[in-house]
Amino acid sequence: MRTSLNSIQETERFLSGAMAPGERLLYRAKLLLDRTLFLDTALQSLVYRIIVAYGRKRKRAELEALHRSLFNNPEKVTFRQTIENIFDHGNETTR
Amino acid sequence: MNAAMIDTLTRVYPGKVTAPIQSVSFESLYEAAFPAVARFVSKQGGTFTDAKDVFHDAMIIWYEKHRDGFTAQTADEAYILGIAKHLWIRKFNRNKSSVSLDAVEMLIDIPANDLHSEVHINQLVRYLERAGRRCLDLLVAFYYEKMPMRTIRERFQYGSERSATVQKFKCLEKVREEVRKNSLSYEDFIE
Repeated sequence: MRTSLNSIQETERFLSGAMAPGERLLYRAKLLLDRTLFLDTALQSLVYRIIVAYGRKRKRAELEALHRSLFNNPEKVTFRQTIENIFDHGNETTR
Repeated sequence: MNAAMIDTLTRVYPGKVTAPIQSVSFESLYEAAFPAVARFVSKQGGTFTDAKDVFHDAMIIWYEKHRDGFTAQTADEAYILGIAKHLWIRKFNRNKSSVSLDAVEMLIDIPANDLHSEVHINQLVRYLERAGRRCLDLLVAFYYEKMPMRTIRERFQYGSERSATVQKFKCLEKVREEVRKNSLSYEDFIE
């Protein structure tokens, strides 16, 4: 693996808590002294948050598609009516 | 930078694969769990859309707990209703006593942050999308779905787990460089 990938892997080991205590202490000291390493680590930490946000966005889209399919599938009429009956006093459509 | 900032960075790692994840039938769970959530929201004066939104958020929280190996002490649909009640209390700043929670529901823990609150992060998702479909799928499979590397190797047809791991780091690097290129300032990615 090339150097930059090794460095990403090392940062991941730090961020995920996989480092042994001594190694972790050394990495923390380097972070305090090396601004480039600190910025790379901060960026990588941000990338993990972006991936989680994207994973949730996908899951939400999956649920929306499932919702549409359940409310438009003629075989699921009983389910749809159950929900419609709950909101039958409101004017809002359940589609 | 200081030690507190370093501690903040280490709190966001999505976590490791804890156990083989059982496949989940979202469809059957949707059918089983949505009516009770809809009844609860309707009784609270909410609309159908409110019910759908709170239910989808509850399903995502439930999925993430299930993925991390959590087993509820009650049926999944009852647990999802409990999550939905907590989300409702938070969303509308209701007093907990205004919503009836049973003993199991009282103990339900939901993520501290609202799933939609990270607006800034959601805006950055476009950088992830620039890394290409295959990278996106690989990163989500590993870091969000927390699939074991063996499963990833098979699904993405890599020759070995080592190749899959190297590819994962290449994708991570691609996204990191996209974010770096487009970050306006240091404050953009340090909170």
